[in-house]
Amino acid sequence: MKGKRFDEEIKKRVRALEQDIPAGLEETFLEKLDQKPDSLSPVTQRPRRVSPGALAAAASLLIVVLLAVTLLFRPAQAPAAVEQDVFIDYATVEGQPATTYIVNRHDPDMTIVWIEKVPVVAMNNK
Amino acid sequence: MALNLDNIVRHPGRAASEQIVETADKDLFLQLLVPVKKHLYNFIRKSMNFSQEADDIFQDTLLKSFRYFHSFKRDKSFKTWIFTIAHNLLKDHFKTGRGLVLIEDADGLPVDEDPSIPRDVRDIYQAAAGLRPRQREIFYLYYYNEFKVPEIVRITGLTRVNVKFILHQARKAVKEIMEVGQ
Repeated sequence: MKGKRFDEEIKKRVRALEQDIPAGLEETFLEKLDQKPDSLSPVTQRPRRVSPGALAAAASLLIVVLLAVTLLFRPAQAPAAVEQDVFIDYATVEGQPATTYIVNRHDPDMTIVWIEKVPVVAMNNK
Repeated sequence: MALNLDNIVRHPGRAASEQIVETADKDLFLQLLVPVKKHLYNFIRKSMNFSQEADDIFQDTLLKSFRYFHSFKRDKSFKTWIFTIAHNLLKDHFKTGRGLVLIEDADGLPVDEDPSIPRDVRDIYQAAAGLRPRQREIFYLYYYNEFKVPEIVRITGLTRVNVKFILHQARKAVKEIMEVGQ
């Protein structure tokens, strides 16, 4: 059996067995329709508890509070890098005390240290 | 069947959200249901292998379709629409796992006990009982309810190719089972 003939045969056999809807089942359905008209109503909506105006006011208030908190409790800014002085207590050049000049540039990575030999005056010339 | 759509009367003074379903809507629903309900009932029973739970699914289908009757477009086919609801409930039923034990726990095909039913009819139901739920559903939509493929596409939400493939599989399986039985 092929194609359409097979299909027709199946349809015939499938339709051969049909049952009527039990009377009790239909009655129950109709009773449910009558008993619960409100719950079955497709257009019944739950009333809105908060009005749109109140909702907008609450949202605005929340934004203001958040802004105030943000501004008041801003974390302290990190201090700017400060140039630090460099001190040299003592320096010698060829065993003699030397004068030191220290130049700090704005760039904190650069410090110029200049050491000048102090001229020795001969005491024997007097 | 002549339908008087003017029967749908709503309260003119009320907002749409406050409108209630009028008796006219209920009458129209029941009127549309008359030519469809027997086929719907038998389709659900056959798709569920004549399980007693079929009565619950049928009842749920009717209640749900009435609840959402407002969404039914009056220019569309009521039969296709209500079968779509039945399909969704059947799908949920099989998805929850209750349908997995259906074949084993079925209350028994009535054809097994009724000697007046010819053997060829008995064979076809026994063959269909061995199909997977989705195959069986599409099998009956096509062969019992005589829906065309495009209508089955609308009911099941499957693609045309998928419906044809499932139908082909079901047809092949039934044919094989019938040949083995002969």
